[in-house]
This record gives sequence, structure tokens and C-alpha cells, in this order.
Amino acid sequence: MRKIFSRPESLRNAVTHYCPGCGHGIAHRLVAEVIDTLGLREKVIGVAPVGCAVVAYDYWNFDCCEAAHGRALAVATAIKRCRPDRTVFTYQGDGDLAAIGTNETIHAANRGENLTVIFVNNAIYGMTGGQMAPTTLLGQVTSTTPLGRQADLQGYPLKISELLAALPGVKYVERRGLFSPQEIIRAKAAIHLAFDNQLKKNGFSLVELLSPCPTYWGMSPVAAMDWIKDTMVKEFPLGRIK
Amino acid sequence: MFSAFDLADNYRMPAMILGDGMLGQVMEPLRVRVPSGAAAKKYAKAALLASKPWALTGCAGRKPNVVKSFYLKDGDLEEFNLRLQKKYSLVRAKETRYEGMMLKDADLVLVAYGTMARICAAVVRQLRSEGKKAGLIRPVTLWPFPAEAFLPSVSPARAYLVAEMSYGQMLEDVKLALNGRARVNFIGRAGGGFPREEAIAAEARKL
Repeated sequence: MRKIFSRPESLRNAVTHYCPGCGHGIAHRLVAEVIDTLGLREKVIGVAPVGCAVVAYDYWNFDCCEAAHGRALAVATAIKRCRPDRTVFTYQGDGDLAAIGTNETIHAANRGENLTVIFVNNAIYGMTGGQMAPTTLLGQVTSTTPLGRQADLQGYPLKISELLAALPGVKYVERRGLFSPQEIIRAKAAIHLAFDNQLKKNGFSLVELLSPCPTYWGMSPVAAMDWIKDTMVKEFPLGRIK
Repeated sequence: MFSAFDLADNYRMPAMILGDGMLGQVMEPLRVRVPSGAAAKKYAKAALLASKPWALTGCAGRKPNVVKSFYLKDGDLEEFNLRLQKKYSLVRAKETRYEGMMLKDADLVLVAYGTMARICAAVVRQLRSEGKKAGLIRPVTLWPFPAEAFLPSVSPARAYLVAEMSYGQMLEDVKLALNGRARVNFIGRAGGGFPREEAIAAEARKL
């Protein structure tokens, strides 16, 4: 019998701690598949964020490092500069990358570090209990915006990918969603390109993935996928940004 | 200063080099002694960077390495803490450093580090010239704190004066090390001021 589907070697046989319907499982797998395809498993070093995905290293089957909250790109910079022949990537949520780590993110991007960033945006703080994130949509109800985010009180959703795209050191930025098989295939292609860029020493590449958080959005997993497709993409349009 | 880097590398933990307002502002000539011959070989051996089987280099030919301090499973974090405690004990046993000056016959011992230690060394010489049996303990490492310098067999004095450019950051360490067996006084200033020789000597004469 011909085997047509199996677990990537870069993914461990483990039960994840993620909530039902969470997007991290999909995103982890896409990263693992791309690393396998490019033959990088033994040459890659991943940097995990603080947030729900902090234990990503328990699910991936390659070298990984933890970073202090938001500092993944600073840590990745050091690893890459010490080992320029290895492939180094960060995997960060919106709280990690676009809130507490904004400083490190912008400066690593502006230095044009030859790194790959997988940026998982679910417009909320998942690990800490569903608080408003910089990426939370206007009107979105969170535990800290019970009346919905209001621009005059909490400002606007931060489009960090568009911000980063303005920097000359940044070579590639693309935003995809994890809400349909078709979009997931596009997301994988974007992740592939982002790793390929690093192998070709093109410089800083970032892929933003709009990802569901059914638990803190207060939705069923299916409704959460629909919410990305119908609502979230209006604020965070899909496609190549740079 | 040099050894701080090797220590951090060997024990895989941060080594903090403490400065102070004076050290930050002054310059003085420094002769860098580069070891040669046998001394160089000895140093190279001592400073040989610890092997790093934990390093993140890509997992070719081995199981993946993960550098982390976060453990979710019950008991794992405690086990990690116990491992760290073992390491701290080893550091305490092997890396505690201090300099003792004229302790054997001293009745009165000054305790100081950094800029204050140099000032206190001058005070000790001044007091000795007056016939007073003074000594100095200069902790080189503040952690691990050199409690053994305060053992009666090393420093039998019954009176101590802690001098600091602070309001007493080391004072409690000294008191703990002496554990009530000697009198401990303190002199200190902060915010850029530092106790002068005369002030320290006057304070010491009271003891």
C-alpha cells in the first residue's frame, strides 16, 4: 500500500496542550512540513515565544530555544550570527511580537537580520485569559474590553506587518489565514518562501498567519474560522504585503 | 573581570560585574599581563571553554536540544530547581573569593569592596601606623559571599566596620557571617558621596 499522508519528521508524536479548534496545531505542522521539504531538520534552530506556543519545542523535533517574552528576535539574532550556516526562525504570537516585543521586532527587521518569522495573529492574548492585544479589532469583546475595543480608549488594531514592510531591511512580508484548506495551502507556500529567502541570504522575512482562538473569542471552532474569513480579513487583508 | 567571562561560560549562568559611581568616572593606567610559556598553557587549560553538549547547533546525529527554563508538568520544575541548587552549591564551594589584609592579629577589621576597599586599605595602614591592630576583608565575590573570611580561625577580631557607597547593601551579609559573635558597625553614603579616610578612621577608633 502506498503511504500518502504521515506525520512530518519535524513534528513529534505528542498530544498538544492547545484548546480544541486552536490554530497553533495547523501552524506548527506547516512549519514542520516546510522544514522537512527543505531538508532543514538537522540544521534548523527555532525560537519559541512566551504565550500559548511557548512549548512549541515539545511538539517540534529539532533544536529550539526559549526566549524571554517578546525577545525571540533578539535571541534569534544572536543564534544566527553565531551560526550563520544554520537556519534560524522565530514563532511568535501577536502579544509576543507586536506588544511586549515590538522594540526587538522592529530593530531586528530594520537591521535586516537574515531570519524567518512566523507571526501567529489571533487578535487576543490567549495564554493569560483573553485580554485585549494590540491587534484586537475595533468592537471586539475581550476580558479587558467588555464593551468592545474602542478607538478613543484603546487605539487602533496594530498592523505590524505593514509597519515592518516599510523598513528597507525587510525583504518579504505576507499575510495568510488558517481558515480554509485553500488558505492553508497558501500559508504553507508563504512559509516555504520565507525559509527559502533565508537560505538564499535575502534577509528578513515574515509570514503573518491569522489564526483562530475559539476559547477566548467565545465561539465554536467552526464559527471562529468563519470570523477570520468574514471579519478579521477586513482589518488584516490577506496577500503579499512586500 | 576577565574570569567573570570564563565563570559565566563554565557554569552556564550570568556573572555580574559590579561597578560603582567612582569606578564609572575615573581612569587609571592598567598593565595587562599577558601570560606566556607555562603560565599561558596553564591559563589556557583553566579557561578552556566548557564542553557544550546542550548547544543549539542543529540536531544532526543527536536528539534535539532545547534551551529552556519553563516546565509545565508537575514536578519537572521542582526537579529543575534542585538541579540549579546543586550548581549554586558547587559555585559556593569553588568560586568564593576574597582578599584578607592583616587579619591574624587584628582587633578591628574593616569590610569593604570596590572603591571603598581601596580607601579602607589606606585607613588600615593609617591605623596601623597609630599602633592600632586593624585589618581588612575585601570580598571579591559578593555572591557567593565569602563567609569563611569571618571564621574566628581566619579573622579572630571582635569588632568590624562595614564601609559602603550605599546605605548598607552588604551589611546584612557580614552580620549573618559573624552570627552575633562580634560587634558590627556601619559607615556609608550614597548618591555619589563616599566616606572619606578621616571619617572611616574616626568611626573605626570608636570600636
